[in-house]
Amino acid sequence: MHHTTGQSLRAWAAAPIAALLLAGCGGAATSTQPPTTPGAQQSQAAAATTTSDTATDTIDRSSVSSAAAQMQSADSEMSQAESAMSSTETVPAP
Amino acid sequence: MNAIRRISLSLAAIATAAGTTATAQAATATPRPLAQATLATCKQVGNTEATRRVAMLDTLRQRVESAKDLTGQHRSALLTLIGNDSSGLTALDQTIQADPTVTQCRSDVQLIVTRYRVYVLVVPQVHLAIAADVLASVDTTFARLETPLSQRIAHAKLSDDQRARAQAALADFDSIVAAAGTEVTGQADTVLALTPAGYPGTTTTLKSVRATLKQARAHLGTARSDFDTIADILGLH
Repeated sequence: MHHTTGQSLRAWAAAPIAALLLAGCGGAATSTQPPTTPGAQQSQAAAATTTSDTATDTIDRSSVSSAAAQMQSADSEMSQAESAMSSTETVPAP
Repeated sequence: MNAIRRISLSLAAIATAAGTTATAQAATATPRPLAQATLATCKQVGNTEATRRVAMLDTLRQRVESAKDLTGQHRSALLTLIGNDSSGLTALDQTIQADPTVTQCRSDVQLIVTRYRVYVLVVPQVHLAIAADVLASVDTTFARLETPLSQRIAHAKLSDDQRARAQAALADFDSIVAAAGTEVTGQADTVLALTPAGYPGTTTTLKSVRATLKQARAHLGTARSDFDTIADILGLH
């Protein structure tokens, strides 16, 4: 009896902790939907898709931002090359 | 009277000729003070010019080492080029400092320019090779976006007009990224194949590469605008 009560207490305590952890990881939508019905399963799948898409968006936007900075760097390199190409290299006559 | 004058002129001419010969002999045997000063100046010029270029090469070396988009092959080629030129210029400076005559010194000082072409060749080589690899990296990044963007347009809840505009922007994005990829391919290798012996023709090649890279840069800028158009329609911002 005592053993059973301990298991119940642990289960009771673990449920909200798991929910909090999931919420912290962006998985709150899936954790609040009990997977008991086909409709609930669809909601869960939709939530998972949303989470996945959000992650993809973040990657896309950061890579494009990096690309923009890289293009500015290339501009600077080409400008320095042009400046050097348009010069004339000599040494003073001793 | 005339006979005496002729004799005097002849003696003067002989004396002048003898003096000139003596002066020439002295210049060959022991440099006059003026020649010594000129030789010292020549050596100083040689040291200044060689040292200035070695410093520039060190700056370029640091730039190459910190350029994260350079391919390993291009980085290695540039570092070898820079290292060889730097050691070559240092050795040439030592040769100049040991030159016995002004003529030899002047000839060696000219080699600082003609043998290395640091400013008109090596500097553009480094910057254009880096630019080419940077643009190639951007092109690769954009090319990787094509499939995800296509999938998102296909699955997003959009009006017919929105979907048509997104698809048109994506088609433009795809073709422009492909064009930029073709443009940047091989440009760094072309630049790295140039040598001082090819000057001034090297400048023509450098300008051609730069023009092609600018075209690729413009294409990638347009691709970025296409991405923004698609992102606006999909609500990615």
